[in-house]
Order: sequence, then C-alpha cells, then structure tokens
Amino acid sequence: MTAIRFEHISKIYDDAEEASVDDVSLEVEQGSFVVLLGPSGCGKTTLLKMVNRLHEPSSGTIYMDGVDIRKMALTDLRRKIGYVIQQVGLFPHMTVAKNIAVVPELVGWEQKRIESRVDELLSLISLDPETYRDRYPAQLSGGQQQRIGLARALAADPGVMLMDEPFGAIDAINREALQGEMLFLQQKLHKTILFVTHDVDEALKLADKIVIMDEGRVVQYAPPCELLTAPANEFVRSLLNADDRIRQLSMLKVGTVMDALPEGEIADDVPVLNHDDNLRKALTVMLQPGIGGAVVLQDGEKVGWLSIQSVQSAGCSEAVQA
Amino acid sequence: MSFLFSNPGDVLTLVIQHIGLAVISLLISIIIALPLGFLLYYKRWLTGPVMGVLGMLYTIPSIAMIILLIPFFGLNRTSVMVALVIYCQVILVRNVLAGLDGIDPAILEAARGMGMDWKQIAWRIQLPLAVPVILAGLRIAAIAAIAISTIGAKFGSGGLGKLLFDGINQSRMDKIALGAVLVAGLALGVNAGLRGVENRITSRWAS
Repeated sequence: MTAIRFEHISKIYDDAEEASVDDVSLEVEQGSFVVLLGPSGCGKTTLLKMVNRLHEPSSGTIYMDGVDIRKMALTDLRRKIGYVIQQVGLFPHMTVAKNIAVVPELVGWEQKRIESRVDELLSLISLDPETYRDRYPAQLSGGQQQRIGLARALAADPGVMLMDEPFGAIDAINREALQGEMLFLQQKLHKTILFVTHDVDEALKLADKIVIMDEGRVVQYAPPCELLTAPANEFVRSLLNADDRIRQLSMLKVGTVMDALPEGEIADDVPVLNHDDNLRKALTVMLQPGIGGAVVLQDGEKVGWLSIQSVQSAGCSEAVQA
Repeated sequence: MSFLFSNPGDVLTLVIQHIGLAVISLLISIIIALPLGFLLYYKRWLTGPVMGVLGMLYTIPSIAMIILLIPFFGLNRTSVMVALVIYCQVILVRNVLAGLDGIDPAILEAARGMGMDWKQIAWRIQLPLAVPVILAGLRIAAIAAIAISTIGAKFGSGGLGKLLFDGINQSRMDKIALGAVLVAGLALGVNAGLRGVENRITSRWAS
C-alpha cells in the first residue's frame, strides 16, 4: 500500500530562477524506509519539508494515505507525522518528559497515558526513565539529545516519520550506534520513514529504497543493491562509487546466495558464517589461504554452504528475491 | 532618621504609593510591550518606525513629558503613570524583540513541525524562552520607573518624592536623607530581586 504519493511536485522559491524541486513523482510504500540522497542543494530537504507543509509546492499534489494533504487541517497533518531535524530542536525550558509529551498533550491524551508512554519510549531508546525523565536537554550529550528528539517524534505513534539529516551533527561513533538503533527500532515499529542524508554509507545501511536526487530531479529510485549494480547513469555511479565490489558485497546477505549443503561429512576446520552476515564479511573469511567455502548457520543449525565462486558471482537479483 | 521614628505610618504610606505607582505602570507597560514586541517580530518593516518613535519619546525629559501630558490627563497620578508607560515601552519592546530573536530557529521549526499553532508556539515556546531577556528589560524599566516616580510627587502622585520635595521646601535634612535612602534602597532591592529570578530561570535550563 502506498503511504505517501508525490504527484508532479515542483518548487520554485520566490527569489530563485531555477526550480529547487522539479516535477518529482514518487510513491512511498507503507512501512518502508526510504532515504532521499543527493548533494547539497539537490532539493531533498525541500521535498521532505513539503510533506508536513513547512514548504508548499509551487505545483503538484502530495497524498498521504490517499488524501491530498492540503485537504487536512495543517496542525492535524503535522501531529500525525513524526519530525526529526539535524539540530534536534528540543525545547530547552522543558524536561525530557515534557519534551516527549508535547504531541500527546496537543492531541489531548490523558496524563496517565502520557506518563506511561514517556517511560516506554525512554526505555525503547535505551535511556533509563528514572534517570532521564526530569533532566533538561542541556544536561544531555548530543547523541542523547537526538535520541530524545527521536522519542519525541514517535510519541503519539505517527504512521509517518520525516527525518532531516538526523545524525548529521553527531560524532562518528555515536552516529554508528544511532543508525544501528534506528534499524532495530524500524524492525519493531514498521513506520513509513522518509530520511534525508548526504552520507552514502548511511543511506546504504538504512534504506529499503533510496531516492537519488540531483538538481531537483529524481535520478533513480531503487533498493540500495540495485543502485550499486545497475546505476541509472554516471552521476549515480560516481555518487555511490557503485563499481566498488566490496561495497556491493556489503549489501548482500549470505543467506540469499548460499547453496545447499554438500553431501557427506564436512571437515571440522571449515569456517562458519551466519545466515544474516553480509558477503563482505564472508569474503574476508574466505580470503584466508586454503579456504574454498564456508558452512552457513541459522539459529545454530547448518543450513547451507557458501563457496567463493558464489560470492564472486553474487548480484542483486538474489537480494531482490530476499 | 528622626522623621521615620516619629511618623512610621506616614513613611510607609509613601513607600506603598511609590511602589504602587511603579508596579501598576510596569504592569500596563508589559501588557502593551508584549504584543507590540511580537508584532514587530513578525512584521519586520514596522521595527524601524516604531522603535524610532519610541526612542524619540524616550529622549524627552521626564518633567517635560509629564507637563505635556497634563492637558490630556490632568494634574494627577494618571499623567505620571502615562509618562512612565511611555518611557518603559522603548526598553521593554526592545527586549521582547531581542528575546524572541534570540530563540534558536530550529526550536521554532520543531514546534511548527510537531503541529503547534502560532498561539501555542507563542505561549509555550517563545514567551518562556524569551523570559530571561524580557526580565532583564523589566529590571531596567523598573529602576527607571522608581526614579521617575520620585519626580511624580511634584504632580500629585505621592510617593517618596514627596518626602524629598517637602524636605527641600522645609529645609529638613532628615526628610531629604530618608527619602534619598529609601528611593535608592528600593531601586537596589528591585534590581537584586529581579536579577535573582533571571539567574534562577537560566541556571535551571543550562547546566
């Protein structure tokens, strides 16, 4: 089912000659994690902010769950959409709990329900409610602040999340951790997510599908693996460094390219891989001298065999099947 | 100080009159300055003209200002109060505007993106975040109000100025000294009190 549909969306700012967004049509599936990726000024943030109407398109229509978003009351629309920005924008005069409670209070939840929701969300983002509930934002680290920003956006359980370079201002180590948590959360929550970034690795790591944008247009809209193996043009190829075979392999899972277990006994010294390891890791294992293949485990059971030839020939068709 | 000990009730009345005049004027001033500040924040082009006029009014000496107002409001407390309100505007409006300008745009974007309407943003976000800067303005305005209220005694508004002017007329050093000490004490006290409130608010948010 389509959650968000962009129909011939263009945006020309008053003082600009060229369109910032130029005739974009896109469909975003319910529950999918879609990353808008491109260089600065490609129109990705403008496109994102048209969904919660912080910007209005010059022409075209955006539909959410089939309804033209201009037909909804502006505040209602925004309260149904979780919004996370790079600068976080926590309210410094409110405690963590109060910050998270903003939208639930706006839509009139009971105090009891709000309190339990705040604690639930703090636990979800691995911050102890007892410790953090009554702190002020200034008493938190950057990574903690953005976790609260995420919790605040999730508070009233919106179906759609808009995330504008949410991890862009966070140091590399914390960024990795937050990306991991984001994936973990998404597996649990199945939100429809639009996520803007200019970080290629971040996009490849998080996205179900990536929208590559350049000069206001959509250049390609495809799953990460397909972008790497079948880039639409030179721009996509060089942006993603798509020829990097290692990068391609890191997008593929062992489980999708393995073969059946061979007949007979397998020697004890054969290396072991996990079903959901990526092929980049598999390659590292197989680069050891004298190794021709590895046993694949799933939940501790031997389920398959991966040969170095399978790694060499692996492409995206397998990933799509998965 | 002999006057104080022989007439504690009279002195107290004067102090209350003085504080009353200053407080009521400040309340009226802030009630006008808050919406005016918001208006200028959203209608930038008004800022130049409005602040220009307010600044010009501020340069008129207080005695002249009160005299100018007498034809409209009479020789009484009201003229003095109106003069005070006019003086406070330039200080308060400037600080309301500075307080609003000082808010991180990301905070306002988040507020809008979460579905607050402009009233909710003004009331729950902008006003509380601007409070420290507004309070700083209020502190300066309060000191000005206490000072000008003293002159108001000449125009029938009572207050500690009466003690001073009576003292001068009657060549009573004790009244002059008492009046001066009380006015100064009042100004210092208000300054310290409001600064304390400012510090308490800001230290809670930032540490």
